[in-house]
Amino acid sequence: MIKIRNLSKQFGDVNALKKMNLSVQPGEFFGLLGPNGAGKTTTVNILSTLLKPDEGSVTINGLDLLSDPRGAKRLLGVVPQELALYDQLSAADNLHFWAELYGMKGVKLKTRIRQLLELMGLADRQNDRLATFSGGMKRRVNLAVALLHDPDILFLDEPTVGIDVQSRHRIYEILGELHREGKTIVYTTHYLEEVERLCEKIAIIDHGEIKAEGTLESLRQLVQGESEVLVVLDDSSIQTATVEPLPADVRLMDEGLLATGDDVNDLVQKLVTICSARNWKIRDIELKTASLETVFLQLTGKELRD
Amino acid sequence: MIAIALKDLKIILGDRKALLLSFLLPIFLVGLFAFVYGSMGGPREEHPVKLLITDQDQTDLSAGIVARLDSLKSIRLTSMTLEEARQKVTRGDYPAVLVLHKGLADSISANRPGVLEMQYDPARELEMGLLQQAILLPLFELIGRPALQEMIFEEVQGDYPRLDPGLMKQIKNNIEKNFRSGKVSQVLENRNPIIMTPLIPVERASWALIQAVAGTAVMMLLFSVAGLGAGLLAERETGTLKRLLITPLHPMHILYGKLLSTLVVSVLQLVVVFIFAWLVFGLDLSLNPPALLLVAFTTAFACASFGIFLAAVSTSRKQVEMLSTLIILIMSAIGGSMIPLPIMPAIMQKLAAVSVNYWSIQGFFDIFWRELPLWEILPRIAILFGIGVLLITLARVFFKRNLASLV
Ligand SMILES: Nc1ncnc2c1ncn2[C@@H]1O[C@H](COP(=O)(O)OP(=O)(O)OP(=O)(O)O)[C@@H](O)[C@H]1O
Ligand SMILES: [Mg+2]
Repeated sequence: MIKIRNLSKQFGDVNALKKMNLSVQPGEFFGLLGPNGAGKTTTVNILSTLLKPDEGSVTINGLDLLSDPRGAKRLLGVVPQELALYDQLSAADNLHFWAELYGMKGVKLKTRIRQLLELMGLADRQNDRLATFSGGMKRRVNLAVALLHDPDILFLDEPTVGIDVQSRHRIYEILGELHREGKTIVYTTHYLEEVERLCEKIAIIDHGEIKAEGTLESLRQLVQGESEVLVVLDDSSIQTATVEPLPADVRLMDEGLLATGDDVNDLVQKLVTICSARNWKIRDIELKTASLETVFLQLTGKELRD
Repeated sequence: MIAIALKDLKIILGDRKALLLSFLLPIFLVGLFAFVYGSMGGPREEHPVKLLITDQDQTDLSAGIVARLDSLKSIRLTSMTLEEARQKVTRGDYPAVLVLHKGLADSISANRPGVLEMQYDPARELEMGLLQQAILLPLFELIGRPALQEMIFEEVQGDYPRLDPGLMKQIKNNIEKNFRSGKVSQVLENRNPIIMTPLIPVERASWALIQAVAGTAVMMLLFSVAGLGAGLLAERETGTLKRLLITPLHPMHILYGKLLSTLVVSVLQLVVVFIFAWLVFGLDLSLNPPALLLVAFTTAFACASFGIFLAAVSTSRKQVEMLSTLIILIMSAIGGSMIPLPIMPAIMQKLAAVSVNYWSIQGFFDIFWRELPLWEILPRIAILFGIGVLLITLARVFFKRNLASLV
């Protein structure tokens, strides 16, 4: 069980985390969803003992992270956002090196490495240098390194950024497997599909604050029965719209204006009135049921994109 | 820590091209410098010095001087007009021109100075020294002898003014005869008050070779360890350093692991250079093996620590590269890697003591040139070791301080 209390971290005059509170239950697949610069990596860095917070406390399985970082380290497996691997070494050599640092050796080390290479679907390429691997294959090695010492708790920081669909699905499968084994997983991402597909519990983070927290269902309920109306505008209208003030419940998106609410008639009328008054050209009108994306948009004011 | 060192070595050894370069380049440079220093005229080398001569006097005496100098083995004489000769000297083709001015013969018999002039290129003082040494005695013989003859005769005349003119003539003839027989030059040569005795037996390794091997080896070592040290920054950039910090490994062991792998490569590099010097130039490695091992090892240790120190104080690879190039060039310049210490000004020789190069080069000279016993070389070994320890200690401090900003 991970307990985060009043966690704050400042870099110069950037408040990366503002008195964050969070708890993750044992065996839970927890998604930390947030746009760029939200504070995801900062959170993971503190949880993996790399950064000291300015304020607050973290306990992992009852162990105080700040007073006993070395004890906590053995419980944790971390998949960093970067590919923290040695390109000049083979996949097997990479795993061998990291395993030694966790004090593994002999048959146990060899068996574990073979297991993981098979799990990752990389057994046939294990002796090739990583420099010859695709991004997706490297991501899988990156994940394997974190699993070497079979930790109970896994932190994954955007582990699927910039990879092919096939590798991505392979990683989803592996994570699902690990979840079934009972591991606690904290997964940061800015892909909505990922949390919808993988996570039981989700926290939406922005500007170092948790904006909402709960199961997928409870978050969806925030917009239960609501609809989204998007009026698509032509390019020049969007240009002028960027400098015009808009009502608080109307949002400017890449393609046009968006409003969310219970009554679709009202929403359409409101948006059309705005556009007519300003002479903006409407190209299309789209209607959608509100989703998690709507929640995210309402909470962060940001669209989820790659 | 060992695991880190082994991993580094695997990476280093896997990079064939870089490896070849870091071992072949020092060998190539040692060869090059051995050749350059060798032809610069270390103590044993004998090369004729080129000299121009302009005879404006055109007398028997001046012709005699030209002929005499031309017969010297240590000088290669070329005759030409003053105009041409001066041009050649200014252009750097020749170190100097010896001018035999008009009226040379007359002024010598009248005992007046300023008739022989050496016009030279001040940038080539080394050759000028050799030149002066070579031409002084022959010139004295030719010019000084008549003057001396004259002086003796006048002395005799002054002391015994009433001597019979016939007898006087006989005395004069006698003096001339004696001088001509070459007795005087023999006396002069025999009376040379300075006896030259080389203290270092001539059959020892050439000075040029030791300078080339020691000077180049240390400088190359510094460059290669700076490169290896930069590996730490590379780990920071790829994020592997961050991951290392997540493992239960003690952070300082990352530093020690890097030191260890750098040390191993440094020692290997020195071994290769010395074996090359032995095989190709016949450097006698059996002179003092314990001292050689110690000096080589402490040199490698001091250099490796230097590389780690650089990596620990810098925050980016660019920074390491700039900082290391600057420091290494300065240390090599003042420490005797590029310019042999003995020909540097006294103040520079004192300054040299702040460089790793100095202590290491001196250590190698102690072994191969001065042939000192181990206990007399120990202070230098201790200083090299001390430099290494100091740099590691500083590296620790900086590494610890920079850890927070690594993530
Ligand atoms: N070492 C640092 N020095 C200064 N500012 C930092 C540092 N690390 C993070 N920040 C700032 O803190 C804020 C949070 O950064 P963080 O890396 O945690 O975001 P993130 O959610 O991981 O974003 P991304 O999706 O881009 O990875 C950002 O504004 C970032 O610029
Ligand atoms: Mg991040």
